[in-house]
Amino acid sequence: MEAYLVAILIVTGIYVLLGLGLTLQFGLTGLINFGHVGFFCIGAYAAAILSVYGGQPVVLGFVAAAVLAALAAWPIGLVALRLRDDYFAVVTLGFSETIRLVVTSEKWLTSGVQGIPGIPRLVDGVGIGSGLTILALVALANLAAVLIFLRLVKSPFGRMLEAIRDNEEAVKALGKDPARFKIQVLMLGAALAGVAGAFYAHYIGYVSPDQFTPLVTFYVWMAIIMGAAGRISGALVGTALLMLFLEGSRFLRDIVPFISAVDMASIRLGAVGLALILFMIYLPQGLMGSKSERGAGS
Amino acid sequence: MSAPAATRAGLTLEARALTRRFGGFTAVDAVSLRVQAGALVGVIGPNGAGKSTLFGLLTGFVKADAGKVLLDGHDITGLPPQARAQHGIARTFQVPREFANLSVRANLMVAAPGQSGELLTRLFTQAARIRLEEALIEAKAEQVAAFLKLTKVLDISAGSLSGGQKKLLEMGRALMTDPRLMLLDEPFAGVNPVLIGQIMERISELHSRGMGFHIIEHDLASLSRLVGVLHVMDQGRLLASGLPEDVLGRADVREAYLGSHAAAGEQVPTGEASRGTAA
Repeated sequence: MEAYLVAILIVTGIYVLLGLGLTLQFGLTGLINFGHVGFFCIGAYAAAILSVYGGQPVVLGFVAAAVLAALAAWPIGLVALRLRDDYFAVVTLGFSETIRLVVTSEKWLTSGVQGIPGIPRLVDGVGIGSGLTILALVALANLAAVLIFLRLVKSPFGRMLEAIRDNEEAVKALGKDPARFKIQVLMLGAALAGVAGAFYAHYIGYVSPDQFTPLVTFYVWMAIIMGAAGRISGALVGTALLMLFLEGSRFLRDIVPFISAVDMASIRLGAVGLALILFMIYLPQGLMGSKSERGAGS
Repeated sequence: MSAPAATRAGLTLEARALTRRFGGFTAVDAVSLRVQAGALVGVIGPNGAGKSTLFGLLTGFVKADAGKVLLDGHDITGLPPQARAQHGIARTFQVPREFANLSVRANLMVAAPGQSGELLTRLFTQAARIRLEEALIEAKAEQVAAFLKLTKVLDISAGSLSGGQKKLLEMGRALMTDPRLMLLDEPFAGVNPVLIGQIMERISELHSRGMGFHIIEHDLASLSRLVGVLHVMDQGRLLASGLPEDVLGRADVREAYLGSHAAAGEQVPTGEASRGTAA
């Protein structure tokens, strides 16, 4: 049971990293990024390929994951940020699906649908100790991300992001270029997703295209909406709540034995969807949001 | 309570045959006009005359179909809005575009030019410098707020201000950019008469320090007392330009105004009357 809890916490930590990236992009700046999983995927494959095929040290994989994910975000920012918000959302969704297709097709590099097994774990051994060490590393990465996040929020840079979210035209009238800030935020969030991907690859030990469907993006969206779109605490609490839903519903089968595993998977998704709808109706600002504060994009 | 210094020399902004069409409708039709450096110029006209579109063309928010915009003789027609603003052209909007979730203080501070803290590279390496800059920017913001009588609301979120206060905040934000020319789109709309008087004093004061103004306004009485030159637009064209009393005395101007305003029972102030009695 302890090992199971540690495993859930590690996955939660990885999702919190993803959530923090999206909080930066959507909660603070108002960017509707529906392609978050694409950057996660790039990070995971970068780490996997470098360590398994390249024989490179794990650290290099993490650096490459962050850098490559950020670089992938750059052209998207350059092109797509000229579009209206809703088109940007569609383009990013298309981007993440394109990444998944590339990973599926370019067998020479990624082994296609078979995926890449045998990715070394961050810590050797199978006991609870190694799990705890990995958890500590993930927590450390989260702490670093939170510290960077706090510095950003309390700076003129963060103030500008909120101004952009509230009114982009007014920002231009003040002689500031919103696109520059949006590209930087997109790249920062992507780098966080890339690091999350590297953790994921080294933790699960195996990557394949079907792990990187848009569903992952929407899980992260659900988490930050349930938490509170613009807050660090929102990303933490929202992700915890999401995991509670996803993992908790596993145990439903023990209580209601006549439901098959396949049915259960669908019911889980339905339950999460229902929770999201209820949140949007009764608690649109999220668990950690204040009543007076309107969510981004409203 | 002193006005923020306007030390830089004024800018001469010129429109040459500017044209903008929306579908089959010509919003601005070959308008040519010049705002001399340090001048105080007004633009009036009935709703839909193309005044705000003209502002959009001058500030780069609306792309021109034909014609040119010149700044001190240089062609800036292709420049985006932020670049024009960096050259010293500040604008306000007809419908206020405040940063609703930010405090009035933060609204003003965002507008300060050249902030190191906006650069990610410096954010994590030059903390001391950024703190110092922030202190200076905040002091300037408080000065601007005092100038516009916004001190009491500095820590309120801008979204909860009254319509008139939002107009003032827009002016304050524009002032924070150290502009040389301010384009104000209906600065008196929704503002109570006492405050209008105060805003007019502020504009006169800034103008006396060399700042140029180009003002769109429906409040003819206030505007004609304030400005030295008045342009009248109607149906996308420039109908008349000149001294306020001369322009407002013209038959075609009165007709353009009466045509759209008579129904609402509005008085069209004529030259002298508007100067003394209107308030």
